[in-house]
Amino acid sequence: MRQAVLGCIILIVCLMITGCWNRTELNEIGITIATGFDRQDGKWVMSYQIIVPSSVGTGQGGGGGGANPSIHVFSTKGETIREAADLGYVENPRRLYFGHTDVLIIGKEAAKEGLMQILDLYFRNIDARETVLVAITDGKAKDILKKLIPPEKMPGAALSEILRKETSFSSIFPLIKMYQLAQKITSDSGAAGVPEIRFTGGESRELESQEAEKLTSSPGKLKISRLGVFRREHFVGWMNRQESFGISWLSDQVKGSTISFGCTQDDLQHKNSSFRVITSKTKVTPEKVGDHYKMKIRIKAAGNLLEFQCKDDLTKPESIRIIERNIEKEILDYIDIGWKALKKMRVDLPGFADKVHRKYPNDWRKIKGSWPEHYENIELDVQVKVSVKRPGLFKKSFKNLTKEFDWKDGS
Amino acid sequence: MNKLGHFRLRLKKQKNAKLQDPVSIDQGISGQEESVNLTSSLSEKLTVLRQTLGGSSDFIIREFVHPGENAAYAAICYIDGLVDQTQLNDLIIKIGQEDINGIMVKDPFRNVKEDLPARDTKLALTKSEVIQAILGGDSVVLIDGIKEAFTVSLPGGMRRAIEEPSSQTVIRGPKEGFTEDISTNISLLRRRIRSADLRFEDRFIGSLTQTRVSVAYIQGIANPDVVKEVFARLGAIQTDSILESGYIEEFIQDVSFTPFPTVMNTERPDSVAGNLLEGLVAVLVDGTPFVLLLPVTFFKFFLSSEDYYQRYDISSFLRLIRLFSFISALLLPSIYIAVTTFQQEMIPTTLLISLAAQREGTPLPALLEALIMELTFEVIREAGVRMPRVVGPAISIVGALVLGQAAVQAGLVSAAMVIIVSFTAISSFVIPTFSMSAAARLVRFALMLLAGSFGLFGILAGIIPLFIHLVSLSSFGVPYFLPVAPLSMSNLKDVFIRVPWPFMKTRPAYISMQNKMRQPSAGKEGRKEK
Repeated sequence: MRQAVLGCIILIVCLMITGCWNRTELNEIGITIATGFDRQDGKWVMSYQIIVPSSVGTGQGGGGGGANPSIHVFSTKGETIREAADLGYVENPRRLYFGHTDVLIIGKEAAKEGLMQILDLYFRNIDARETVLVAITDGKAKDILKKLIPPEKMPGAALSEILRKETSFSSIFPLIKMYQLAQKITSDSGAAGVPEIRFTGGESRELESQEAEKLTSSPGKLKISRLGVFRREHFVGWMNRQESFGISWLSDQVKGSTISFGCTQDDLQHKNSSFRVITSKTKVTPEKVGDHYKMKIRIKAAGNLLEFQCKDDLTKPESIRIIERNIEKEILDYIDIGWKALKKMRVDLPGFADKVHRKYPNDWRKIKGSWPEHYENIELDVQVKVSVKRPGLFKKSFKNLTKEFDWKDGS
Repeated sequence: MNKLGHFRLRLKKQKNAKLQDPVSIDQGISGQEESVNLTSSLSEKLTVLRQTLGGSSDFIIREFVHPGENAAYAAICYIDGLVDQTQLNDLIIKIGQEDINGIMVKDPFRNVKEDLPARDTKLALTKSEVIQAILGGDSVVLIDGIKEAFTVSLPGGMRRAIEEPSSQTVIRGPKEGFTEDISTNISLLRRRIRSADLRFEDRFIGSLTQTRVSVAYIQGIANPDVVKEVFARLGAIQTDSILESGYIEEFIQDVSFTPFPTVMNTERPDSVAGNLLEGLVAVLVDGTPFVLLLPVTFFKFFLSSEDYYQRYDISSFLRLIRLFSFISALLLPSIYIAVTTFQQEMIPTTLLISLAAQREGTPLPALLEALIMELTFEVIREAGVRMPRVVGPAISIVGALVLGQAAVQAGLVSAAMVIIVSFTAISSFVIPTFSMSAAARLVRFALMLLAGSFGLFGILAGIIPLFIHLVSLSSFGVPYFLPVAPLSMSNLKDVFIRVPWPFMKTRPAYISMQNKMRQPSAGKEGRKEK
């Protein structure tokens, strides 16, 4: 009994004198929704987009929002990244909180010089999440962070959503998370592609004030426009849309996409029908042929017909076959474009090196040092198998329905 | 005539004597000491009784002449308000018509029941027996010249009618509840279990109140050791008064210093009957509608008698809801505090921002805010119980508008906190047994302090000792956390869920090992469904 009382007193006293250890109230933290790293004059510039909760949430009294921008961007300079972040306290009253950071934007200069330092920071610290999405920008990350994305309240979250939606609906520039980036640049192939966010159209200071939200459509927009390519920690160049899409097919990163195709395989001018890829699977098997490697690439894709402007009768399996051939041809073209660009840049984005390593571990030891040369000699053997699951709600196209009345126009 | 006149005179004298020499209270309290036999003189007997009761104004003596061959003075003594006056008058007339006295002189023991026109007639030989009978509500017939007194049970007086229980209501199921009168309560139970095995054994506890405490159990189902233990613990109670079953509960429970109840109480006869059939022992106390049930386990407090009347699927769902509510009543505020002040990573971004927006500009830290709001709620709730019914609406307006809406609009409290506190409050009302929800309310505050100091780690540091404490408890030898710890799979059929009745073939084995089968010859339907 006495012991119990004593125990209680000790416990209560402990609670009283320790205070609230490490406690941070919600109104004391600055929720960083997006961060950006730049290099300037040999120093790191860290920018962070902080949510202004009262402008985003409904806040007290129901009013909220409207009057003030929902974010505020601070930028500070320092020798190291975290020094820069901590120097932020000279101008920012709130504790920086990175737990909810959705997207990290790396300026081109920083990407060229210090990818390793960024990776180290993210893997060493508990508060920086390695699940953050990574994007790169041609200019300064700070300028991207300052832009609003009307009508979204939180530009950082909107950016990460753009990256996510693009990946699942177009798959042209697949998103990459911090840990994936680290995995890729430390793998055998050592190459990684990072989507580029770019401000296009309009003037540079546009989208930086709330005025932007009053327009129904602002001329300037933030867009994903290219794929930044890294070989190890070095930035090596950009891939455009078509090249990047081809690489997506090669590296099994197509989650869903829409492909336009023509009525015949050679008709490149009139791509007037479209096909939605619902599922796709790319299988890569390396094969040693003489002194070089052959990559057997088998792609299976299935989906629905979205638009159809040809005269074929969809009730006939043969015409479905024809359509499938046409779509396969389109995919092969994309792959071709992507493969050419890869060879030119000499980067192994599809990760062929890892496949070879896995299949021929003994050979790999020998060729490891001279992989770039071997990579250039790789032969691709691509086979695409497309199946049209659903041709849509009606079988004949309108072209087909009206073709018998063609004589009226003629007379 | 002469005799009668003499009698009246004596009566007057006695009254005067009583006024002059009031009996001290001490004498009244030490009523037990005499096993003095009564004298045969009526006047002496009456004097003794008057003195013992100290001339209490509710003690009534009605004297009359008993006619016939052996005419004698007689008197009926009783306490006003405990006796049915109509029956009493009938008795007096009946006695007057018969020559009871003559019979008594010949054979005092034979004719008692036949000749006194009343039920439950007994002989009382000593003064203390007479006093006990009178105080217990019996009427005592005293006849001049006969040493023995006759106690006659003519129960009457004002009693509350059987009403719907106010603390435990059901949608489907019997609507009657226990009353303050123990014999009514016993009859309510007997009406439900018409078995010779249902036993009631009485004890009178409290040196002053002499409260009738009746222990009910079903012979052959209840664990005899538990029954024995109940009687032993009841026998050990040394107190002057038992005014409510809560007194008994605190005297006989296994552990005094725990927020968790180890004895259950209920106002519902059907609930008591159901539990008796599971082998529990009930303790009925005169003067209160709350009947104690024991031994009980932790999960028993989450069962409502309605669970057995509604369809099994909905009752199983409701049981899970109750457990969930208990957990949220216990933990919700502390989890909110911990997550918003320590582990913000656990909140989805958009929710975090909307919470942050609400907290913008609120002056107090989350812990203090929660403590104040919880205390405020407890105050409102207590006011709701204590206040006169007429001011009820006023309190609800003050509570809901002033403390809820206005506090949020003034920016003193965040809206999320009000939601959390209200949900916690409502959750605590879902638990069918009040004593268990009280436990949740108390422990909640300790957990909130821990959460405010150490976050989720603190909550865990509070929950682990709490569980250790819970599994260490026992109720009359039955581990408190049965059938979960120690785990007994076969007994889980009536804990978190309730299986349909045809499948509930056995009684919960942990309460009593006796007479396990509920449906000895399994019904055809049950077999078919298997």
